[in-house]
Amino acid sequence: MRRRYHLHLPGVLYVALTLFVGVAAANRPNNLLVWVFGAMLAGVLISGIVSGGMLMGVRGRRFDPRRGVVGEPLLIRYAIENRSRVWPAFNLHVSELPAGNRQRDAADRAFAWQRGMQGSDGWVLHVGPGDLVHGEIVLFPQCRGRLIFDRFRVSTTFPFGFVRKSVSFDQRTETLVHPRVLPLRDDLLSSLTKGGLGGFRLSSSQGAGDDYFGVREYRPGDSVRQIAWKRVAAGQGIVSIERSSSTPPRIRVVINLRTPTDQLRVSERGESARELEESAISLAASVISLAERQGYEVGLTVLGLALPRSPLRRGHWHIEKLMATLAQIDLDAARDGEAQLPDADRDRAVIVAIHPDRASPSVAPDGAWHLVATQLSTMIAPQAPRSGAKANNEVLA
Amino acid sequence: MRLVERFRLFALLLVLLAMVAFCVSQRSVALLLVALPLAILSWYVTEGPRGRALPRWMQNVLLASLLGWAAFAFMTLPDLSDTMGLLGRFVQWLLLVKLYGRKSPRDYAQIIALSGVLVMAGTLQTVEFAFAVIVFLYAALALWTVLLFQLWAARERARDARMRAIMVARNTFGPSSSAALAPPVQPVFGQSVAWQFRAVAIASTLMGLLLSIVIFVIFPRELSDFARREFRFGAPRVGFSEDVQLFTNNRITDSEREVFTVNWSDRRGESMRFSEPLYLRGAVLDRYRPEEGRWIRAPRGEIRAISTYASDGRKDGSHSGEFQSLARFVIDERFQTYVQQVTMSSLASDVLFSAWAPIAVASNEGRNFEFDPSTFLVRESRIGGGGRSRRYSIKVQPFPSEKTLEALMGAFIPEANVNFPVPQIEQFSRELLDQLNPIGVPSAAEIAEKPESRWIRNRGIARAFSEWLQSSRFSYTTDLGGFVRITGEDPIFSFLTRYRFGHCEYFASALVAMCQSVGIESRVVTGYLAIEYDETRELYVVRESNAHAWAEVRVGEFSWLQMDATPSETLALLQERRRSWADNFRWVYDRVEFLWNSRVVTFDSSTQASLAEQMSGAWQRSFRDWLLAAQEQLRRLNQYFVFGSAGTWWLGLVGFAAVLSVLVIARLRRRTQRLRRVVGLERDGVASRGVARRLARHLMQQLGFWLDVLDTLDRHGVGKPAALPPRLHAEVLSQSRPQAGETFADLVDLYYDVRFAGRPLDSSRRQRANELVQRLDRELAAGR
Repeated sequence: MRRRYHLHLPGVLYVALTLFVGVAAANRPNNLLVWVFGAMLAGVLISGIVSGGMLMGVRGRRFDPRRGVVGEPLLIRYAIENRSRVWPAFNLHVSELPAGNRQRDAADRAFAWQRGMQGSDGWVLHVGPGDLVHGEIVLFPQCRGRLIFDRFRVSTTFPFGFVRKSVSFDQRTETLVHPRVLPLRDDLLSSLTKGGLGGFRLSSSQGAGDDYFGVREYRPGDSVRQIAWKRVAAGQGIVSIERSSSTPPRIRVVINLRTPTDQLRVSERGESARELEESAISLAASVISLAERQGYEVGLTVLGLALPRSPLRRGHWHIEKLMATLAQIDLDAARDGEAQLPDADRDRAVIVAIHPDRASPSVAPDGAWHLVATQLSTMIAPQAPRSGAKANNEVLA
Repeated sequence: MRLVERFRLFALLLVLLAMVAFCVSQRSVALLLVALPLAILSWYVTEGPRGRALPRWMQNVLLASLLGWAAFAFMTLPDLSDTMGLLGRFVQWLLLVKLYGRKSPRDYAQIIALSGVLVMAGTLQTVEFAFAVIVFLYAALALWTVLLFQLWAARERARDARMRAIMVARNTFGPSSSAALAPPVQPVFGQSVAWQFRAVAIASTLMGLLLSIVIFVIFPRELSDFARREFRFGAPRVGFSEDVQLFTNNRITDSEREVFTVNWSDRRGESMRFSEPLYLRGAVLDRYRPEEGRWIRAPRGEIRAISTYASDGRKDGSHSGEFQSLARFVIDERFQTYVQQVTMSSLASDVLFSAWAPIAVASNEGRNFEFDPSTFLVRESRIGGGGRSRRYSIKVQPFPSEKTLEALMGAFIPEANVNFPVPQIEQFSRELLDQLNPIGVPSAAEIAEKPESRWIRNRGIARAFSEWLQSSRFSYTTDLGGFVRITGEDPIFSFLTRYRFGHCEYFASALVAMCQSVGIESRVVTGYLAIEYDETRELYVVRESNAHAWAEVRVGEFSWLQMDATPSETLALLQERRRSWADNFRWVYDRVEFLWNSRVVTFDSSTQASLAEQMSGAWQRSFRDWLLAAQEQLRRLNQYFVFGSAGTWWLGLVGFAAVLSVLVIARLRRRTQRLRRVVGLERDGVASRGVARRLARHLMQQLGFWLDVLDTLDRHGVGKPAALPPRLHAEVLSQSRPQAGETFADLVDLYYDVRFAGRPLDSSRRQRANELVQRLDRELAAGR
């Protein structure tokens, strides 16, 4: 916890004006002016006393943020506590401070705040003596990756705005920023997975589906709707019907990152190699997100980097894992140019291979679909036309 | 929330108050009547149902026009001393323009700052009580407004920043981005915010008032005292002036404000009205500077110091202090001696206004006075800590004998000053004297033969001149609009030969000038003419408009004759009773105004020194008294217990031990209370249950180390938040300082063992706890 006073332009101007009035009062036999000078000087003293006493008992703690998504608001909450028994604290600004030098070494690939963040500070109007309130700041991550929160600062210019006093708290934590998810066309996956391994199939195990799987003896607790009443009527005793579980279509997303960034083939006028790679990652995230929405089981394989493969699964937490895997891709790491799709990933799912620059069919078995990052713009679902003014009004509203 | 929303109304009130203050300082009702309604109207226009504001370009055009007007007015300003007035008028119009514009936090900051400049411009021009009251109100309101502004502006800026961030995100990621889903900024506040805000504002106001008074008292005043002497700024305009400057007319006033009252009583103490108007002398001027058109005092000779002493505490308002004689010898007071009791209403001056001739002075508090034997003027030499004298009494003999005058003057014999430095007037006076040819005036030969006869000549010639001035050739007026100064011509000569109209200072100046031109010692006297007698209160009421100037002509070795050349009929008409119904209520205002003038406006380095002396003396006295009382108590105790000669030392030792014990017990008690709070015994109600009380006491003895742990964490800036369990805090600490986090985790284990598992600390574990605390301190200091 560090306390600091920051010079503030209004404060400097005020002190200069006070000195000017003091000189005038000393040279002019006007006692009212002397009192005005006294009142102005008292203002400076009160400012120091009140703001000092105000921040003396303020303590802050950041709640660990959830993961962020590029382009989406990331809310970070803080518990601001005032331990003072007397002084209330007013007009507190909460802001995150960029990580120090230790986060900028080559080994740590976390994004610096200046690069990775844009957003607005938090504001707390009042914390009474002994009170605890929750403030929040909103950030808009600009790029995916690990985001390190090192310190945050609580500052105030109360009471008069002459001096900005701050107290900063060390609380290192980090979170992941998932790649940007773009709204892809709804028919994209259905056209990719038409027939074959991509369709719905019956499972060989019982479940909660609609199709008939078999019958078994009645067990206490079975619903009356499960009882096979025809067999009961036929005098065959009480038996229950079992249903089969349906198996959703499967899709495995493979990102081809075998080629190092500087060896990618890019056009001079187009996106840079690194931007293509990021677009490929974003396309993968968008495909995964769309697949999840449409009920697919999804798996992810990153070729060329030492990242664990993920099985084919459904569900929120599985998708979060896949997104976290995408968020952790370090494009500066060494690439394995000979990496191949493991055999375990070749069966029972439609494979969608995503390439940054050009399609390389060798990375995936026959029948796989190959997408290129540059195609991303063509796959985005068309937006309803909206005028700029209307959009702005919506934002302001 | 409503607290923050009040800011805009407060800002408007602040601006209105600043405008009123400036208009009061300018004494400009017209400006007030124009500016104030326009400012109030701006609230409806900008904040009303339509909510319209001047566009920025129109504001800029108006600002440019105002600047042009101000520059032109400055170039054509006749008197540069009105520069601050011009600045104030410019700021006032600028404020009006700003009030009609769109108001962002930056605009409001400018409006508040401009209102401060407006008040400052007024402060540089006047020190009047009414203005000062408005300034005090303004200061208090400004404090509240600035506090509210901080909250309001912070909210607006937070909202703007959030909107800006959303717009940037939308521009960066396109309209499909969900940036617009970011929540809007809402004020976050705890309990009783409005009440606590008021408490802070009131505390700040009181603290500001106290500090400003302290700074006011200790402010170095040598420079301003010099300026006060040189420029005479700050003296309220009360008609009376200690010099006469004929080129300016700013002292003459028709104001009906009561300056002071005079109770005139005979030796038996019965109030009475004197047979003639009372000429209350304030300043005597006998040197004329033709280049400035100004009468000044001659250098003073011997000054006699007189001190009065505090009375016996009578509270009836009478001046019960004993009279201190102004004379060197005893004066016979049996004949024609009156007592003049003066009670100041609004004027705070070091001059004691007295009729001719003062012989003794009294005050009901200890005061120091100076008596000038050459002029018979009494002044207060040093202001006490309580400001100027509010009441004083002077014994007066209107028709003093030669012996009385001699006793007052002592060894001082007035020098003859008979050279008037304007030759034109000398020639004019001689021609006039020849023309008037007064009867009974001794010739030069008779004077040479009998020198005493020159006093008869003085009296005769002066009376002739005075009658000539009082004739219908001259008229009295305070309007000197037609009295145009002629380059190279003395204003007195212009008055005598060209214009022949003017106010009392011209008549007195002309009479003294003519007398001095023909070798008669004479002088101009300024002061007040007490003519309005209040029969109900049995006292004279002296108003600002009663300020007057007259002449004194030497008619004896020690005698001076009072001569008023101003036409008496006109004067009587002007000085007639002017009491209005409002005067019945003025006494309260006058009393407060006197306090203001007495204690604030005239506060100078001598008052400061006197106050410091009194304060220092009071502290010393108080400390000495306390020490003596303690010694006495100690001696009595020693006597009571019969400790003998070393008993005092033993008692001192016991007292010291008692104080030390109290301090130690208080510290332990505070620590125990804190520990109960920290470990949650109070919250759980454990300590309140009878059975568990022993357990609680036991815990308190065991858990002392936990307070040391928390203090260590606080000291190194990683204090444990109250809401965070110790174990969780250990994990948080481990992330930034792994070693310290590990040590803290060990301490947490010990704490949990004692607090929740009921395993008491034995000596070895207690020692380990202490070692861990020390290690934690070292590791945190090293940042590990």
